Amino acid sequence: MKRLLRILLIIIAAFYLASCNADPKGLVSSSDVDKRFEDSLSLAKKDDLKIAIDEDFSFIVIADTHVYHGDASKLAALKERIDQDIAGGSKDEFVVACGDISQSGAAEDFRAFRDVFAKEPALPVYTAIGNHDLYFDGWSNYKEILGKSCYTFKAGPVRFVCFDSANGTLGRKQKNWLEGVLKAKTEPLCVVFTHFELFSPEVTTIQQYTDIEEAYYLVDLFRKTGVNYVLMGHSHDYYDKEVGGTRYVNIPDFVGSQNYFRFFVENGTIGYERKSL
Amino acid sequence: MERFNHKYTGGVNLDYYINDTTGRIFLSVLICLAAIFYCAAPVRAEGTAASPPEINHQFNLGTGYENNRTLGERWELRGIYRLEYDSHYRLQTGLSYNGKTGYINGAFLELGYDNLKDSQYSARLKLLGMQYAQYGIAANSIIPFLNWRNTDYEVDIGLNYRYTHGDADRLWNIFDYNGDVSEIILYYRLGWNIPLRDERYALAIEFKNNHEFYAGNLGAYAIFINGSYRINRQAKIYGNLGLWQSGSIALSAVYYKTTLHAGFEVQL
Repeated sequence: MKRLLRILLIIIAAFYLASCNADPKGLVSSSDVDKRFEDSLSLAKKDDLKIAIDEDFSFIVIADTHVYHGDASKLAALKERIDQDIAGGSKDEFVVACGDISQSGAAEDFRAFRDVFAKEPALPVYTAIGNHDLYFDGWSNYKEILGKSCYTFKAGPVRFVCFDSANGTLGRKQKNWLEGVLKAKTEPLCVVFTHFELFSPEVTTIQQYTDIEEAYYLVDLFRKTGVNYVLMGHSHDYYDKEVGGTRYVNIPDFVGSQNYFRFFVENGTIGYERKSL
Repeated sequence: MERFNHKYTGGVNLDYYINDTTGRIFLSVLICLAAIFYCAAPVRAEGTAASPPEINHQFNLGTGYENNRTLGERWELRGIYRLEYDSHYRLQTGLSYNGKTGYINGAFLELGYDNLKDSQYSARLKLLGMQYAQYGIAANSIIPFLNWRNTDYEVDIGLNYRYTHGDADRLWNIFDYNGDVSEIILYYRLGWNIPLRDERYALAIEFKNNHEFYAGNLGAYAIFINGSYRINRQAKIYGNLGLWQSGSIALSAVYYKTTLHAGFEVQL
């Protein structure tokens, strides 16, 4: 019995340590995806971007910024780089962040993140909520500073859809909403972004979307509704897989690798390049 | 500068990766089988007259109900047959029918050598097909795992080599390992048999990321409470309750689903 208890303790400790930086309170105080969906209904709508349907543009994608103690200096360096690139002719219109904006859901971290991109010349930023953003009642801070956890907006010929996977599941209400949005879209291109990754192609990638049946439901939905790209984060790894005509790109962590991706929308196609600060 | 343009110009060629992975997996399966056959060497005492090997057949028929917070409710019919030979060799196979979709949603074949060198360890190899025909996707797994058990505890630990593809023509071949995505995931089960005074009753608690027709992701774990009542030497009835969470491996736990299974088991 003692031996088994020892084994159980080791396993629990391993799971605990596997979740980036351990936040024990997060284990018991995370908010629920249905509650966040309900809250999001009453939050301010995310505006479409005023980009003509035949206009070429690009956007920046990052993931897992894990801003901690209000220190967003690496993100400030990224913003500076983007500003330089725009001055040099790049057509970056906005930034997408695939979750884990903060390390532990603190308001000062969300504010630091927001303020970096609000600095003139301001760049619109669209965020997905991650599991770390929920810790220590992080949702109340997140919704106040960054807004909705699931939403959609349009940029040129592309429909963007962000869904909340911070609990590793969609929930029934959000599932119905996501189906409705994707089936009703009229744009020729579509990009979906979220936090939890749907696959784990490396044996070292030990965390992913919880239930494979739900993941396959999403893969089928994306295939049927013609989603071009699904952008994810969470595991801090990079991979690019095509399933059913949809490309699943896992964005590596910005906090560690300082990688960022520039996606190009040109002549009715989407492509990307991987860059590092 | 690394630049990709995938959408309309073709994609990354995964053939090499898949073939390489498949090769490694079959090599590891081969090594497992070699280990099983090595350990299967006779251990009878010299000079003792060999008694005829014992053969046991076991049938398990059951029904199941699942309430999933995202995907809704469903019910299931399942049948499992097990053959045990000479108290060491084991073959098990089963089929599960999803009453909501009208499709077979799981099938498996499991081979094993129990009580290695007459110890409490067993080596097993499970070939599992999870068919999600309603989504046009199949996930086929090769799962070599070790089992350890005594009267109070039972542990399974192994690796789930999972191949997922969305080709409708190959949906029902559970031995098809040419996937769009290949993953390697830890497969585990920890069980505790609670001692009861009346031996006709059994009660166990399990912590695992799988059941007979499902092998989930590392973080898709559940607590199971399994109860059974033995009617006589040949037959018993059972009921299992599974409580599944989502997100707790990422410290963002919420309730995910409840599963209930009940049925009877007959030994011939």
